[in-house]
Amino acid sequence: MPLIRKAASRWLSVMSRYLPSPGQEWANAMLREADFVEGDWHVLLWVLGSTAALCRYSISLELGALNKYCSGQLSAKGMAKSMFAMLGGVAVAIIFLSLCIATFAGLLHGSWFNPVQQKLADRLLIVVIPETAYLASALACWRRKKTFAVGILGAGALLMAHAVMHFVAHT
Amino acid sequence: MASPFRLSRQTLQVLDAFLQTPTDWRYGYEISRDTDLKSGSLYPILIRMAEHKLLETRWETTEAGKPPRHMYRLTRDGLRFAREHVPSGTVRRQRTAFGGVKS
Repeated sequence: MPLIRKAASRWLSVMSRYLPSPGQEWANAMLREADFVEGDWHVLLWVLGSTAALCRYSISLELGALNKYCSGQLSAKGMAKSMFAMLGGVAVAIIFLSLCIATFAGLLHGSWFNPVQQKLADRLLIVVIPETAYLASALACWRRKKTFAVGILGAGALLMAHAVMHFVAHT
Repeated sequence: MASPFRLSRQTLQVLDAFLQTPTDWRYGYEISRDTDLKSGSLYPILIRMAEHKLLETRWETTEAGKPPRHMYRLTRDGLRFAREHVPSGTVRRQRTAFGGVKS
């Protein structure tokens, strides 16, 4: 198989892997037809045209999904559901932070706890661990519970802003 | 989801190509040659037609050991739609008038 034909087919087959499932069938259809196109340069043109067609199709699919998502979000029921999920995320973040603060308070009672360790534990338990946990849980939930993840991230952003202001004021 | 079906000149050409042999299954490349449309214009039309249930598709193995090809045929609705919107020979005459392929 000549190089141009091979490269063109390879390009289309690689592209088809990254398309949403309805687009994959069409990409395969275009790819199969490319085998029957006469002339190497005609194959290249066929593949370039197919690529353009698939890009248009993917964009239209994405826009359709976005439109559906937005119209769902804009309904009163959808907004209430989103708000509830977001508040749930914030609540979980607050509960986790409270547990971290309680742990820190518990450690303060330890007689072995010197001021250097206290400062380190403060930063670790009240900033680093909660922020890491927020980020990890938001990433884990992002696909299935996006608004819940947004709530967690919002709480994390507030905590981070608070921590930055605290450190700037005390250093 | 289904937006109104736009009838561009290229779409009419594709419908006309299907109307020439309305019961036959056609390949993409074959339609491309009949209509003089490149893949970048042809496939969006085929996709829209399939989405509007005007076109049915299937995979057919033509030769043993070779991957199957995608084939297309007008549905009953598609045939009715094409007959309503493409007066016989109109598009082919237009293409000849514009210096395209002779019918």
